Amino acid sequence: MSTLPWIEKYRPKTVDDISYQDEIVAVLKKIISNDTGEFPNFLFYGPPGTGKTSTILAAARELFGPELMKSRVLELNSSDERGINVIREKVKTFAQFTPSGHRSDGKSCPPFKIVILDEADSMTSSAQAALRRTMEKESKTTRFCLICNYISRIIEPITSRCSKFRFKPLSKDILIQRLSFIAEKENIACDRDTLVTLVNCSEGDLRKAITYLQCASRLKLESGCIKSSDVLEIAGILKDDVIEKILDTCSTGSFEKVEQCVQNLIFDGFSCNQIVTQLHDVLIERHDLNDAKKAIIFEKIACVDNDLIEGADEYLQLLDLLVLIMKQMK
Amino acid sequence: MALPWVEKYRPKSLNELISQDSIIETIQRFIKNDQLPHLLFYGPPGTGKTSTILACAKQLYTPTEFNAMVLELNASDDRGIGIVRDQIMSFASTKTIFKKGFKLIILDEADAMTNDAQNALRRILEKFTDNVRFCIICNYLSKIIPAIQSRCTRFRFGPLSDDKMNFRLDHIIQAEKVDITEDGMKAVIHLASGDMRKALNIMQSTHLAFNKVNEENVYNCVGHPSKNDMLSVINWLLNDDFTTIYNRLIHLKTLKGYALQDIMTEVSRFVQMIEFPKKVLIHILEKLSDIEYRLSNGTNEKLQMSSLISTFIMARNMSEFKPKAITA
Repeated sequence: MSTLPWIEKYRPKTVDDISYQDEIVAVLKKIISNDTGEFPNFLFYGPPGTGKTSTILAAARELFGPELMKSRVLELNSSDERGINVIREKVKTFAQFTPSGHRSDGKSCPPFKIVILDEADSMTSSAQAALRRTMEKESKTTRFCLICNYISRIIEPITSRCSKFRFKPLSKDILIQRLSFIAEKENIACDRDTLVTLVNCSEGDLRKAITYLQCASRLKLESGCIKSSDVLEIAGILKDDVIEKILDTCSTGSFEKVEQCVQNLIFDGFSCNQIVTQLHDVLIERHDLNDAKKAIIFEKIACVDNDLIEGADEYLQLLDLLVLIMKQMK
Repeated sequence: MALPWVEKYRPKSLNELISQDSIIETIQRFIKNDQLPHLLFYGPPGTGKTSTILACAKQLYTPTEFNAMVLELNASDDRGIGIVRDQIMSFASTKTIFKKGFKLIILDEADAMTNDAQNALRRILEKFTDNVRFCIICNYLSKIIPAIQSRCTRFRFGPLSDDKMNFRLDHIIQAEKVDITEDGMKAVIHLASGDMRKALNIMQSTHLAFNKVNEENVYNCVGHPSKNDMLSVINWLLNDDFTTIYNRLIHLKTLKGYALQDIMTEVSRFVQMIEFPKKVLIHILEKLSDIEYRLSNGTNEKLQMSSLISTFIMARNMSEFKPKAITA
């Protein structure tokens, strides 16, 4: 059995495999089919897990073939160092070599290289500024493909040099279709209910959904069947009744009970962030709280979220939040 | 390959510069009397700092001299202390044969230089004054060490006024035959907020992507919340109940791909146009700035969005508040 993570194993191999993003697929197909080398600089943006990286990788593979991929494509994402120095050194040197127009198997291939800058919105703006001259100077030999979640985080001079494409969030049907395809290939039995849970947990992010599916299948290798409760466990998501129980405890109005509840939650190993996010989702839909009370609670939730990021203690923050909810529920 | 408009329409001479009349006048006088001091230009991006000094240089030197007499270093060049010691030093300390007058060194985006490099620079500034003039350009004056500030004549470049941008944009629109509507023009100027380069970049990319530059296309192109969307957001925030606002906002965000940070910026602009009682306005603005701070820490957008809704719900519950529908 192959040990490859499924997200790599089932990454679309050709541009045709890309689901749902019709505009960009049409454009790329045109480019690949007529070989003129009219490949503009691209800027892909959209929520995570919608196929941005897959699309450009698939296109590069079709253009260059598997052997040349390595020498023709430079992929940098935010896990690589990508300060201003890397842009100056690595990208500049990569961009300077002139590639030939033939592949080793005799087919022609476009005479340029591609630099993929993944998660470009986490680049500092001075690094982005250093990039803009390079993009122009090396335009004879190199094309850039920038990938980001929010286009507004990319500086204007860069966006104006690229053709922009927005990747739509994948619809639930598409996600389910793809997941059941993978499940079938991997011989995993799972019902539609499980798939729906997977889709809900992953918030439209196909990569997340596939990762959860693989984890769950490893965990349940013997029984060979995945239930939706397994998915929840893998994703570290609390079951709805746990959340309900927390809220019930709050509504009793007893501080001792709330404290006990917080302790139990921490001992159960749930991450405080997850609890807060889910409490948020449940409380939004509650109709027994009026808007004024909701306003106070959600203001607090936002603060707690910030404090947690700054490294505050999980126990104290959660206790603080639940006590506040308790007060509001009275 | 076609040049980006920013480069194509960079002012060629000092007379072409539209923005900073008094500064240009002063510099012209410096040049006329042959008394050019070291210059320090600072101000927000896209206000003509680099253009001014380049136009100056073009006036001072003939095109053949240009390369020998002017050294331009910007952020894409390495500018650590080593460069200051070697490249700048050797350029500054040598005289061009058969040539009178001074050389010019332009240090663009100097706020990205390290303190060490700036310190190394200060003696060079004094020692070679008879041979070379420096022009230091930066966005934030505070990033330049005081020792350098005191050795230069400082000029502040303010953001461009809407009329002046309009004037220059008109010229380019005619030269490029851009199909632009009046509201498109307004949107470009609004989004650029005094930054000429941004205005040109927005206009060019919209022109390339959609051909027709109107309000909707401009907002689409930059991925910025459009006015109509923002109007409905504000109306939701002022009139609907919590759950409804939340669901609508989430829907809008996923459909159009807006970042919460941009929505917040627009909301804060709108809020100041509505005539709230002072107490309510203060409450809203204070909370908005809190949310902005938390977002910049990398918090969950969903949770912060609820907090945005909370802000308005709380404001509505204040005694002074009277709800109403907002129109353009």
